[in-house]
Amino acid sequence: MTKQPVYLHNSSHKDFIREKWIEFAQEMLTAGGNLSLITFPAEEMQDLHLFATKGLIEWEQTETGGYKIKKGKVTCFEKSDKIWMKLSKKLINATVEKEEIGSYFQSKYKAIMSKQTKIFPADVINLDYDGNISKNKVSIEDTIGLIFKYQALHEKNFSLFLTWPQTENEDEQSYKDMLKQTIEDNLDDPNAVQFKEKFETFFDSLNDLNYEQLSIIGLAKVIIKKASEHKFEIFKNEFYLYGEQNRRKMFSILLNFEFSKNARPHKIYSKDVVKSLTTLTDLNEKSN
Amino acid sequence: MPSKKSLNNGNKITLEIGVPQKGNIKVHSQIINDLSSGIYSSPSSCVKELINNAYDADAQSVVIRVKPIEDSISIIDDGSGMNAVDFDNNFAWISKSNKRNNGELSPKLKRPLIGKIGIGFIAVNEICEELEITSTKEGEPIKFRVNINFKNYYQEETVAEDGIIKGAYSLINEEEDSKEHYTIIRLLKLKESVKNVLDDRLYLSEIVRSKHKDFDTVTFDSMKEILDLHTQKNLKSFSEDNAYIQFIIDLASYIPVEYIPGGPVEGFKRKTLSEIIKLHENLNFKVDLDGIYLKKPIYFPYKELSNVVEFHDEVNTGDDTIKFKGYFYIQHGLLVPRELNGVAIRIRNIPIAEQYGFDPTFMRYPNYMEQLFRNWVSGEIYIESGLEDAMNIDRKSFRITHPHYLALQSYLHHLLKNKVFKIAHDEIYEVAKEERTEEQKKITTDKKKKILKTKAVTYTKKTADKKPKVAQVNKNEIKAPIKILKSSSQNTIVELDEAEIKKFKKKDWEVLENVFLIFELAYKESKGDINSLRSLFYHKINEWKDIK
Repeated sequence: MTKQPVYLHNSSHKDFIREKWIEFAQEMLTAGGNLSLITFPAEEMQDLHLFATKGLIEWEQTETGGYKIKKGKVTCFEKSDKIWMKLSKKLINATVEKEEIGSYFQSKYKAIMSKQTKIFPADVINLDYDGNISKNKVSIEDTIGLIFKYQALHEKNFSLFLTWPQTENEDEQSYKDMLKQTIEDNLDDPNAVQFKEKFETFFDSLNDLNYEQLSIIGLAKVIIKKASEHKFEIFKNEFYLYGEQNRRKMFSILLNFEFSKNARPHKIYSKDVVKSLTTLTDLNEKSN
Repeated sequence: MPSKKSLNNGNKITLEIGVPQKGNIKVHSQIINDLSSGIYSSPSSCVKELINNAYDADAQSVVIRVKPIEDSISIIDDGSGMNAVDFDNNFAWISKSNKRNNGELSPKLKRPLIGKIGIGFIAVNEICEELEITSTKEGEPIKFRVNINFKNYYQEETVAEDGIIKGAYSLINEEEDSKEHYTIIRLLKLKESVKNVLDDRLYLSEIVRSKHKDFDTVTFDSMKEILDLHTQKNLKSFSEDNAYIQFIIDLASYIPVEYIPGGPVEGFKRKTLSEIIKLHENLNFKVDLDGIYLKKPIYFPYKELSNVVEFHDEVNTGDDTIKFKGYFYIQHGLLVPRELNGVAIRIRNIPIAEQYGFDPTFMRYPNYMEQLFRNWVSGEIYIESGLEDAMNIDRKSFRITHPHYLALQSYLHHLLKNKVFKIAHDEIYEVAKEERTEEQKKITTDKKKKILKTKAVTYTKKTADKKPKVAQVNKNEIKAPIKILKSSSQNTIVELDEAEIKKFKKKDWEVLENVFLIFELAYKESKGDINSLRSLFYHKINEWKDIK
């Protein structure tokens, strides 16, 4: 078994990103003050602790030593048996699924579409990957597509956070091709003229993009494409590259979406696609 | 893997007259099939089988998660785990389980094994369409993951050469840290009827009067809280609560966990009771269901008029000895919750009876006897040896003609008749009777004080009338049974004519006495004015109604 480099969950950069999650998520709180959250909390559940500290969810300790969600709805995904067991013990009145999120969404398609499960709609979907996303059983593109489809069913505004590591050397070729293809298609898309114009001010050709740029622009575009297809407009967005010295580089995309029932998908797309080129903030440069 | 043998088609009995024939009575797997379908139809009866399997595997912690989605049930235990071959040997062949091949005790913690033939495992197909098991054994660097599909076998019965197929599985072995040992069981695609039991959202929203049904959470923090709420709500039976709470209580009744703190009987520090409580604490077996520890739901809060009878004994039947210990709790008045009225006979710590584990017939104690006191009693008998052979395969009843059953029954009935019900009568009922009379007297006097608006009421007997001369006798003269001689705010003296009182029935007199007092008062105050008398009388009667 090849050992993956361990990513440490505690760092000032990661803390900064977590604070950003709170900032975005606060805008999604409903009148009753309840928040429905889908996340990958890992063993330490740092995001959940922060959400609880900031009052976005409420929990209390039980006689069994766990945390019982008293306010809010929490759904977690964890593939590792050992971590899944630990999370299941710690979290009470929360759903902890032992499956890759994409596989789960695919296998539950019928049930979710017929509103027979209680997971959707969500106010915040935090896809906080710390492993290679190109190797997911269900591609990230399909997973995101399903998220928008399910949210659209409920016409629900929501926050979508996507965090993933820079794993250029291990990434599947098909994934790399998908990123390139997505951008290439856009450059030829008459609905994305603004994108092309802006792109050309920065780059001469697709080959000028480094892997970080390719990843973040490519995935942001995948998200925006899927969002517009289901009538979701972006109303807040930020893009980050981070990872202190000697640590793995990470990407983070934060987006708040609004469901626009009467909008036309291509209109949303041509308006929002350019946002994928919004300045990427490198936290290393920022701190310097 | 156990050897397989084809079953022949009966004993080849013919209709030929006068020819002696021989045959065997056989158990076909169809019987196991029918039994397993019928016995484990409720979610709690299925889940308790899985918990008890974890207990048999030396688990010390079992975690069960149901909420908030209720479309699956996850059960995680830290027991010794199993590998794929163990799984196939113990669970893929129902009724051919090898669970007790290595003795009657669990390998590590030496617990008396609950399971015997593995029939409990198949119970899960009654409540879910799919089952996923992941398990690993300490010292082995592998784990296996198996997914069992039951759904395809619901409709049609698939008969194989050596049995009936109830499900098909796919299995895979994976690497695992050899230090790990655990079993994860996930009941997936729960049947609708099961989801309805587990989903108490509507009930909770009624409790918290919330408008956000999707967000309502489990409101109980401990088993004790659930039972306390029953007391507050004055529930007489577990069945008066919602289905999910019944599921929790029923589940906790059939697993070897500790008693609720203070239970089973509060306020009695007796030897056997303490031993029983300690026995459970020493098992070190904790079951966490959605954040609360399951505990035996037997808890009788301290009552003044109550008592406990303990026993630690044995009875012989032929060559066999049945050893047991236990207690009976007796209280004044109807025992609630009603489900605890009766006797729980525990073999290997698990009660052998339908729902909640108590036999309300006290092992068929004659119905016509002690009809009052049997409602005041609850007891448990922990079998230390014997009786197991008398148990039916469903683990919910006994073969009532089995010598072990008969021997215990005889002991129990003798104990009930000569000790338990005797205490109920002599030490509780009789004492309560005196107290009841005293209490009643106090209530009656208090009422009178209020009617007469005085601090004290003094009674005096009417002295016998001097015999009147015959000429002076007036046949129309009305004799009052009661008369107010003197009234003041400090003391009121009431004269009673006992001869007149005796003309009334005792039951009626309690009410009439007050009516007469009111009339007397009204009469005195009206000073002979009939209209004033009427008005005062009815006014005081209405006041009395308020006092009542």
